Amino acid sequence: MHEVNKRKIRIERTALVVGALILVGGAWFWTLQILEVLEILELAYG
Amino acid sequence: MDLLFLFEWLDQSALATLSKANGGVFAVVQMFHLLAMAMLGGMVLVGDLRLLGVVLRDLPSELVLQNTQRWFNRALVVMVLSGVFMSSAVAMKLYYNSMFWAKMGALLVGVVFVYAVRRPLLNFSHDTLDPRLLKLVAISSILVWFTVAACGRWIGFS
Repeated sequence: MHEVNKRKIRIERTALVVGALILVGGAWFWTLQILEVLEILELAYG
Repeated sequence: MDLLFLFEWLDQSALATLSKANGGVFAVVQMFHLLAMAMLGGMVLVGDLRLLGVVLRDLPSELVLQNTQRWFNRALVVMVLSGVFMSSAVAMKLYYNSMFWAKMGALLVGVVFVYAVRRPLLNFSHDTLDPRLLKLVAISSILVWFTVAACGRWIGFS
């Protein structure tokens, strides 16, 4: 039981860290993509 | 690590000969790729929206996640196999396409996230897990699989 709890806590922490990293990484990636699209639109239409 | 040799090998393989010479075969494989993508996206959405408490609220989330995970696994296998076949037709073009690498990166993150984090976490009773953590996992999952699909579509325009 103790071992199961330890495993649960470990996976919860991992999920928290990885989930947060994905959110930050995703936000960074999509910000770059949107900026690139805006740049292309500006080049095309001034 | 430079993977150019792998793409050169794929470009010269029998798979590439088949995919380049037979438009019909390519189209059928692409159809399976798209069907698998629809299924994978559907399973991700149903599972994660259930975790967020948006859909199927009258069903236990454990049951929904167990069923969607099974079909997710099958869809992923079909997607990867058909994806390798489709890649063989344009292997060298893909190697120099930055959006292809973005997709592969997101796919790697998605697969590791699902099998090393999401599934082991959701094997525990959901009532015993922090609801905020479940929501974080669901949103991260939707984001990463949306990125895989969007980058895949973007390859055709970049």
